[in-house]
Amino acid sequence: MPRLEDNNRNEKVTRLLKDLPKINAPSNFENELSLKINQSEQKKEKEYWFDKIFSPTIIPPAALAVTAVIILFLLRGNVSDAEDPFQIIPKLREEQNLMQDQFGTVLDKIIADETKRLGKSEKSNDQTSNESESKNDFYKGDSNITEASSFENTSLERISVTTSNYLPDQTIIMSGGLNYKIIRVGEEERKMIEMLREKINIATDYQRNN
Amino acid sequence: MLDKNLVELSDEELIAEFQLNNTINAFEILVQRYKNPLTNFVYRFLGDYEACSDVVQETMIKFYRNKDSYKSIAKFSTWIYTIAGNLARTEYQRRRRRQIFSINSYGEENENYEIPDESYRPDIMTDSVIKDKIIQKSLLKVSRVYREAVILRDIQELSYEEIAEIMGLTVGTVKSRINRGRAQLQKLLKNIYNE
Repeated sequence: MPRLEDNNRNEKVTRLLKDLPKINAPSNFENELSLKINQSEQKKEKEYWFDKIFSPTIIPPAALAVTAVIILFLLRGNVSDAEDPFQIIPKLREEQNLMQDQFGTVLDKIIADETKRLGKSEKSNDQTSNESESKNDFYKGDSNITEASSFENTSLERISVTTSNYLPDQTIIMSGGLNYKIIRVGEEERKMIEMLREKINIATDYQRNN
Repeated sequence: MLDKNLVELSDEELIAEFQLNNTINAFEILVQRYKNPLTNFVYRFLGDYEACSDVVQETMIKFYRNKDSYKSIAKFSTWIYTIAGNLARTEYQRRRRRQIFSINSYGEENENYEIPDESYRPDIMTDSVIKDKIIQKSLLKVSRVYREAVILRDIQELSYEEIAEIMGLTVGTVKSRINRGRAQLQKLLKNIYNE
């Protein structure tokens, strides 16, 4: 018997331990065990499917596919359907202020001429046909034209043009179709501008001479 | 294979049957054979019947799920005790960590031990139960490394070689641990000797 090998000094301890009552498993041990095994089997099955879906063999191709989709998406995103803003013809501003300088620049003179011409055509229209009808046909109910026709007599006048009553292109857009904003300038500012113009002219002349 | 024949088979033959043919009856017979020894071992190690029952069940589940990891070169008893020992150690560590964080106001005095042994007379039973409680309490005070060896040797009555295999130690280390454990227990049980 292996116990004979033990040291005699611990004989009492050994006996006490040996005499301890044997602890048995609970009576429903097998039932609980079978229940737990079934549960663990179900869990194992779930884990099996999880492992199958996210298995190491599937992850690399899946990652590759996802990356390809992302790259495609990014490339497609760069091919915009929107028009190139530099290719779009700019819209006219809804409201434009036109300025007539008393002494006038080339531009101002053009504006004044255009306005005169419009005034003349208006008069001729008045003579040939009904005044109100012709105004409506040509200017589309513009009430600011009278104001525009009179600004040549004043030092500074303003014409307000809206989308509803805007003038034909030749009267508003000058100098190669650019859309000018004409502002009201005071006496001092006007003198300053004149001075700057003279300087520019001098500089331009100097450049030409050289 | 018939159930009658299965009962006559050794542990190693039964697990071979379970491994090769997935015979559930062979598994059930092995559970039947080892549920009580393992419960006794784990209970003496942990001192908690509920926890011990869970550990033994977990041992059996591991045995069921990992039956193929058993190699016929080892004894089945050694293999199953190793599983139970590992799980018991894990549970002991877990409980110890939990005790550190929740030092309850009841103390160890109010711990209950369910010892389902009704073979004694009522008048003697009281004395015996108290004595058993004291021994169990003292056993739990022995260092964990010594306690496991003492339980396997003096309570489960396994050989030194089997204990060495279960604990993954040399026979010499096992003997040393058993002696040290007994010495610790002897000091703790002085009063019981005098009775």
